[in-house]
Amino acid sequence: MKRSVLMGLAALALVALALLFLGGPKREFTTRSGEAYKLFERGYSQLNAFQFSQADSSLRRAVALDGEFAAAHALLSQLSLRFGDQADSDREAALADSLAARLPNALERAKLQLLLLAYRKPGDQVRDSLLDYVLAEQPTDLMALSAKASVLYQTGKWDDCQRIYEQILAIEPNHAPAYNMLGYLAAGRGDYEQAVTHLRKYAFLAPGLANPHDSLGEVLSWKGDYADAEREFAAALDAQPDFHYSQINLGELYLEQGMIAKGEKILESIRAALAGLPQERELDETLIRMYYTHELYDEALRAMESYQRKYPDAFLCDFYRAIQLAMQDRREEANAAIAGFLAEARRSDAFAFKNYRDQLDNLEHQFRAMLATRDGDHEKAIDEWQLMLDSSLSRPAHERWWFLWRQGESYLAAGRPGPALENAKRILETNPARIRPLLLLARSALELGQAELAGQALAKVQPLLARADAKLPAQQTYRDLIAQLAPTPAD
Amino acid sequence: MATEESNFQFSAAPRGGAVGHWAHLLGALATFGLCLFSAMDAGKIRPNDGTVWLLGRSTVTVLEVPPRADGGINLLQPGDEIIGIGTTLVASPQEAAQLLGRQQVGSLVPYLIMRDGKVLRVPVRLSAFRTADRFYPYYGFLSLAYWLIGLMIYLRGRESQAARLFFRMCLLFAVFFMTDLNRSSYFWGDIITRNAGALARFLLPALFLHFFLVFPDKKIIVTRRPWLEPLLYVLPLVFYLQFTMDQFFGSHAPRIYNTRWLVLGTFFSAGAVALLHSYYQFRDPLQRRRIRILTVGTLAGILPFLIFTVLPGDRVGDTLAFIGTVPMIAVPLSFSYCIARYRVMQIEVLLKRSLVYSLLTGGLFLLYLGFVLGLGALLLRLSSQTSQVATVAATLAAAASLWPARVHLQGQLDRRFFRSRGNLAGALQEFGLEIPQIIQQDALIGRIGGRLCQLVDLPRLAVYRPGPAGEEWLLAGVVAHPAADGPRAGPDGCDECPATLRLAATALRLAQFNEPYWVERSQVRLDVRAAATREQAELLQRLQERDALAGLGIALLVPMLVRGRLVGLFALPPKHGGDDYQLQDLELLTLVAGQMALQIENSRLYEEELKKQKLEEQLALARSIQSRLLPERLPEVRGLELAACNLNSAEVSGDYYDLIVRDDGQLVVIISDVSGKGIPASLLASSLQASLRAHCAISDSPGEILDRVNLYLYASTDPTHFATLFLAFVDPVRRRLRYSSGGHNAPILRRADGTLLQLDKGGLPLGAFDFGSYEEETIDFGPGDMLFLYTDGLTETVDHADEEFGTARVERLLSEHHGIGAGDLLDIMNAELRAFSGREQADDDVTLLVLKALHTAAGNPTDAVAYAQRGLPPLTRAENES
Repeated sequence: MKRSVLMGLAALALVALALLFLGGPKREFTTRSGEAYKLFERGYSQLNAFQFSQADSSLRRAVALDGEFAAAHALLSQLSLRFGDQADSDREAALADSLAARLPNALERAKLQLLLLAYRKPGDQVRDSLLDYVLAEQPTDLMALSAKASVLYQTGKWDDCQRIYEQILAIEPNHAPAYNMLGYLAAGRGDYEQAVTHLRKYAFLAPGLANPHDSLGEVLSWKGDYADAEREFAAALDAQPDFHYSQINLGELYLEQGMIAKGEKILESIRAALAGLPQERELDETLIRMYYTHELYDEALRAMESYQRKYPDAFLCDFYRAIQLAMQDRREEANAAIAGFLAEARRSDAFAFKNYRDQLDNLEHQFRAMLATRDGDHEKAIDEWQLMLDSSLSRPAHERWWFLWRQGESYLAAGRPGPALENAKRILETNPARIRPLLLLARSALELGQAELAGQALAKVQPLLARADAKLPAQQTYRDLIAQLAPTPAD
Repeated sequence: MATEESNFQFSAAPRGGAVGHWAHLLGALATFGLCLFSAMDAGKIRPNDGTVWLLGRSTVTVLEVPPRADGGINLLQPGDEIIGIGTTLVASPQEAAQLLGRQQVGSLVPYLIMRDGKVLRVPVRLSAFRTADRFYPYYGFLSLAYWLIGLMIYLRGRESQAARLFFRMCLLFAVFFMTDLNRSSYFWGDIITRNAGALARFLLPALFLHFFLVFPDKKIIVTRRPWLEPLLYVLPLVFYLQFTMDQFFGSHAPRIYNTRWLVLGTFFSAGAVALLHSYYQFRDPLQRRRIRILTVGTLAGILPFLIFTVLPGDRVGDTLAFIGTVPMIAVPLSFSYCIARYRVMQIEVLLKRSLVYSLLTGGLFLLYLGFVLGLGALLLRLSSQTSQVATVAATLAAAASLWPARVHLQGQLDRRFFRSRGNLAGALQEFGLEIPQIIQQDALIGRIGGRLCQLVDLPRLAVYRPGPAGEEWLLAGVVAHPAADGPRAGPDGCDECPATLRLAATALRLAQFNEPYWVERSQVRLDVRAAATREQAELLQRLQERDALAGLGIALLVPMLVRGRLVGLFALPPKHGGDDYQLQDLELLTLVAGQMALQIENSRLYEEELKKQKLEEQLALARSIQSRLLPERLPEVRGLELAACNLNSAEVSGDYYDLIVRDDGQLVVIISDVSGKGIPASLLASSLQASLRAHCAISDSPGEILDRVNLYLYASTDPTHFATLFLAFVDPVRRRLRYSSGGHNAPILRRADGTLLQLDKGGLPLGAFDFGSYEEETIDFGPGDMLFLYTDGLTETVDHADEEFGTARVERLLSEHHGIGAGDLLDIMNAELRAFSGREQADDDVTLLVLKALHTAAGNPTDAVAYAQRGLPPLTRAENES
């Protein structure tokens, strides 16, 4: 009896050994090819690091090794979207979807669907349920957690989003993308120092990547560290010369500082490269915003006309048209245009979400405020700007400064330099190197008889303007203010 | 600083027993492992960023940025918090160390740091870091030497506190040499070795001092204040704890500060002073010589170490530290030498003298060869010659010039190991031939002692032997220098030599160490109340005995030991003219004392053998006499049943019985116990028998007969010799018994009806006094009555519980065994006696005699049964039927 039991155990052991050695390679996520999986992992990291071409190369090699590698096809679908190739994206997604149906493991299927749904609209019930399922099965799955955090970020649930990223870091302290997102979250809270810390860690963890430097440059520019931001953008472009985000950001940085020609030159230099991609539209939107900010209305009008021609189906097209008409004092047409824009926008599925609705409200208030300003009804403009500010409380300071400034200008025009001064100060607390708010501060201070404060503001703006283009309207404003400050013989 | 004794050893029992022993062995193993690990760790080249980190926290904080060895600039600053290395964030110093270990030496590695609240990226050029410098192999050799000698000493002398301390000290030295405190590369191995190194550096000086406070002699101050020993370690342990706290939780790099080095240096210095003090305290040249090499070696090693390595602290350069450490090899070497040669710490080494000699001779030859080649090369260089002839010539010239030096050194070595001491060797040969031929102790002391006095120039030599009391030593003989008018030999003592000495603790010492004991009046006055421990009590007693001996003018005691047993001792006064005893004197005295001890022991054994033979002869003679006193056959008396036996003990005593049939038909019954043993007792019994037989023939009054015999015995013998005796006249016809007792155990008459009657009428023992009368009594001795007579050997026999057999037990047996025959009664008594005593042989002679009056017609001869056992074994029944 005992002998037979022992023999049975020995036979079992032999079978186990045979299975161990003959059982074939270990199955990874939707593939049995270890090499293909390594390429997939590399491609996934490269995609997260915005190294799209490298990611594309890695993933295509992966599917070359294993044509039925569903996860790789899903990522290729995402990449194709990045490249603006919707057809290819759909084709890869369909392929991945069909392969997913053949996966024996439900969890694998779910994770694969998550990859496919990563770029779907927020609130996708399928995606959310998939996320819940995967995280219930594998609470420490970094891919699922990242997807969850991404969803939370997109839906504006910053605190929850931050918690998830911290959870990710507790699992993998060197998870670079988490630091990237934590950096943006900190910047969103207005904690730019913390944002810089996170992003420096991100840059440290992902050496050779452009995106960390680009993110860092963005945050630095938001807080007015223009020189450092310029260095970071340069570093990003060193790391990845075709990293167009940094090129756009660098151009915007120059535009922000009033170096219009330089900014334009950079942006125009990459236009060809971005032709047909979403980034080209973003480039033009940046130009319009910057022209408007620096009161280069002619340039703004031209840019808006150009925008409408190039992107007639773009979301902001009708809005720009309304603004353009308003600036041309074609009030009725402008009102009709904005009404049409809003009506169209409200028909979108996204209107179900507060963020979207807030964005539409902002645009409407912005339009109304501008009209009021042009009408000389500064009090109404103040109210409209206030409504904008109220509806954008969840947005970070570097996105709201423009509203504050415009409201400050309205205050000043309405003969209320006190609130104007306060608005200027609030803006400068975040970024002490913004030209227009500094000038607003100086002007308000002068109105209030605070010559010393005005002098200090002008002293700060002087080196900024020294680098800016001479044609910038702010130059004249500065000179006028200097003249006002200069003691007259009678004094 | 007074010393306790001068025997290089301490009798403290090993503490902790087996557990302590295993702990020590485990410590040795751990130390070896640590040293090995440290060597491997120190020899490994690893990337290093040139900073010192704060350990024990979750963050990696730069404590110090020492100047780089390559002269490069380190962009890291003290206070920087290292967040990441390479491309990885770090959460702890250990993690950072692991990351750093994966980098390449010489590479430029990006560091992510937090400085003043800002995150910065700083490139850091990693340099090669290796703890071991070019001197490390020597340190390794030194460490191994210390470890080996320490372990050897512990294994061979672990009962000694000094050996245990030395062992621990060696372990710490081993760790000391193998570890380095200069810089940490924050790998966990470095952390361990650095911490262990710190422990060694802090504890070692205290242990060094502790060791030399108990070695070669335990200082009085330590014995009187035992709490001083643990107190020595308090400060070093505090230092160590501070160091460890700094290492893990401090705000600066842990180091041994100057003040601490100074304290540690003071400990070392105090240890060296204690050693020097011990050396100069010794008046005994043998002991001083034993410690001389050791002292010189230790000081030669420790002083440069102290000056160049310890006192400058961590400011000292590697080269200077090495120079200070090189001579440290002298410490284990000198200890090894002293152990091999002098059994320091009572450690026997297996290393044979010849092997040591061979090694040293070989070493000397190699040294000579080295010098020859070196000098030859120097000559060639100076002369700028390159030819082979010149080379050979130069070498030969160097060899020739150095030859006398080599011969001289070899001679020194030879003398050291195979010293030819003319007089000593001759004397030893003389003693070696003479001593075995002298059997008698007195002659031995007289002749050999006299010769020793001449050779050593002693005024006298007294020999003491152990007395019957444990602490008392009796003068066995004293002999004076032949040229002096001093006392001659005599066991009664003289003015200078007391007849007895009281030595207890000192005798134990002599027996334990078998070497001369220098008697010197203690300069320390000890308070009796201070003897709180056994060790202190022994010390106190030794010092008191030493004072007493010094007061008696005794300067030196030389033990006479045979197989570890102290059979005597030489008590020697100071030499003529107050000269110190020389080493040769002590060696000669020790050797001769040993030979004499052996001879005295042989003599004692010989005398004992002679005595034994004599005793056996006497015993045989006494037995022969006694056997003739006892009747070969019991008489045949009608109407009486007789039975008797005599149970012999190992010694022949004076028991005796007799049965005489008078012409008138009465039976004279005699039982007697003569005092004393052996021949005198037998002779007295013989005389008593003759006298009684004579008187019984002419008188039938027992009292009268005893009266006469008493006077006769008193007049003819020493009063200390006497006899107890019971005499009875039994008339078998009239069934009457007339008796009188001379102090003998009262015989017991058991009547036919079972009642017992003790026949105790009489007087004093015979021969003791010339006065007194002997009462007699006449009683009926009817049919069935049984008279049981015995000597005190029966009732005084004791069992294992030391309880006597006693009269009550006899009476009980008589009562219980009613109606049996005389022979059966003897059988029962014998069996009971043997069962009671549990022995086959009685302690004293036992004589039993039984008379039973028969119912049958008087004079039936078949009723007589005699037991006349003589010799051993006594309980074999031999019937004598007629």
